[in-house]
Amino acid sequence: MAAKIISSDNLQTWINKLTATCEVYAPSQGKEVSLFKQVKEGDKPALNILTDIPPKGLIFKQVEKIFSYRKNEDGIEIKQAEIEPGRRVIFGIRPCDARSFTLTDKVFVHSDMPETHYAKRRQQTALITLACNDACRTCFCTSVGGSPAEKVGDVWMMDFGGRYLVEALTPVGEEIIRANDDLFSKSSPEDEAESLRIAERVASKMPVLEIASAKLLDELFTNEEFWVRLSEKCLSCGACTFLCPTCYCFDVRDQGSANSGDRYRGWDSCMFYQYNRAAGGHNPREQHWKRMRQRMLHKFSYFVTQYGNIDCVGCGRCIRSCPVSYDLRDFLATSAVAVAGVDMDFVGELPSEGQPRTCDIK
Amino acid sequence: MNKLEKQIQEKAIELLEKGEVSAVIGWGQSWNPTKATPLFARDRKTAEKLIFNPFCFNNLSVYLPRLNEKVAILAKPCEARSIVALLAEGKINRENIYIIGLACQGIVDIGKLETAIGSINEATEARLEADSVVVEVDGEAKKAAFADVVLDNCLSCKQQDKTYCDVMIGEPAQVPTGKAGLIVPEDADATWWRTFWAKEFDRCIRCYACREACPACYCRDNCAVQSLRERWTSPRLDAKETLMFHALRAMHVAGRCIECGACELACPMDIPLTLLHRQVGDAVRRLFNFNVGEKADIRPPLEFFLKEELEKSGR
Repeated sequence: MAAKIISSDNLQTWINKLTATCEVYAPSQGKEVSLFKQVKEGDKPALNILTDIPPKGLIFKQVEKIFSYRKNEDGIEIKQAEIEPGRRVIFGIRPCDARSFTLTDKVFVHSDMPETHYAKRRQQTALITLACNDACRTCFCTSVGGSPAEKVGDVWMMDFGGRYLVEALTPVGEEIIRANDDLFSKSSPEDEAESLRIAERVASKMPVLEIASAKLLDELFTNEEFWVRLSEKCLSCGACTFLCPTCYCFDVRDQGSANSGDRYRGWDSCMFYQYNRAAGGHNPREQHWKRMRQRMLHKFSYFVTQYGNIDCVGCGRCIRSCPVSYDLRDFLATSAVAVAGVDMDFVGELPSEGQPRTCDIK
Repeated sequence: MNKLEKQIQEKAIELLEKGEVSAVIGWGQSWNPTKATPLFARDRKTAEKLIFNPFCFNNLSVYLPRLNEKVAILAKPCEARSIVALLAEGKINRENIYIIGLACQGIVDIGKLETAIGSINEATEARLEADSVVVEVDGEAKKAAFADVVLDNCLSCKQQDKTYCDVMIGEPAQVPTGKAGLIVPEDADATWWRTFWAKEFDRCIRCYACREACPACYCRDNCAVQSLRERWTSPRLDAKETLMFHALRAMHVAGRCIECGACELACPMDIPLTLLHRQVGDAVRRLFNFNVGEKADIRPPLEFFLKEELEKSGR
């Protein structure tokens, strides 16, 4: 299907029509935080922002019941938890957030053991992506494989000011547009050229960061000094991982008795002490620098080795939300230098050579 | 660089080069000029990056219970009071800490600043100009009265001339006078509070940034809400469980919290936690006539039990 044009007024009509047939979630600016909220007919989404909270939780819930169990005369009865039925649309999702789902799909959908709740929600949710007309100071998608105009999701849109260029990327996307065909008009080759100009302009606003290869970063694993220095000011809270669109670690907990109860699955964070603590009390990542190492290497080394992509989309939320303003780009810069065997210069925090270091959290 | 920063850097370099401390904990510039970042200076080069301005909001004393080396720490009245409280509780060793007291004229509350001038995410420059905070966003200078955006805690700070320290840098400064950010109605009863907190805690994502940024929350990896042995909270994530966590934390830091606002500033969801802690703090002041962070030789009132208290309670 060729790209089409929709006016801003018609875009709002389109959103209203979508709310009649499915649940529509779109960016919403609250007083304190911005997030993806369900749109009711007539609501105007805040399409010009990168939400503080990513839409991850719409597909991969922060906490959800997986099943209930009950002991009876015949043994143990297991009842799978059901998920919300019906189709959903995430409208105005940014390319970085849309890309994050394609990365997490590799783990939860395209694997030997698919994660059924995630996979099912993913299947029944269409993504209508809105390309970026500007870049935040914390954006770096172009350095991690994405782009501000990446064609990802089911439908792709770009704001031309007063009108939008719209393109279906999948059969689901085509169906969504066809259902409201009268709202769209034909696009011209000039529109295509304009979209490329905008994409290039926005991309050029972001610095290109040097990122060391997965293999070289993995070799940094044993450089304790590097990780201790890197994590010195980190408080070891979970703000970065909970606001990260790609972090997908989870924990499973039961509530109930030996006779009946529920099993829940919820987000976990590698920054928490309990993350790796095993039965019997052994904790291979007791010190917080080891947990910081896990967060960084998982995203920039292990995931790359296993799935072929960096597991970071460059949205910059971890940088914006960190209570101590820790900047992930510092890690990328210092690790790139460290793997080259050159002296590393932490932005603002280079300790003296050979000084004894003890800041482990026990 | 202002005069105060020059003196701070000189003192830090002196301490490091004489070998008196292995690190000086202070603040440095971060990616955003309205948010300073904690800086561990271990050599001259890094010490020269130390800054001090009204955007240095982190309470640095949070790092002290984790360290076991001799360090110097830059101390606003907030850090100084936290240090006194930690000493009173025996959580830090006085010999291992060199306290550089700082004349503080008040710290900007990012939440209030954003309410006044809009998002600070794209700020390229920020400074205090006379009585105004000036932030440059997209080439436009946005202004807010300092008194309107200063932390509530600063408005009632009486510590400028008696900061607990080994050396004092700068002359005692004047903090602005103004109104608290959130005014609680006089007739606020339990129902009002329940509704208020239910709404605020609804957006809590349980990242525990409040806890980790809090100098009084030193249980660290043994926090009751994440205990793997005893289950004090349910695995569910709902308003009731979230309230349980925050109420538990508020009660646990009662009589130990200096109300510095570090928890609230750390919160990525902008939950007004200081209000909760001030309410509990008011009760402690009323019941025990105790001010946290004033004396290092008095244990916090909820840490011990007096027989007279039992008699007084009439049970």
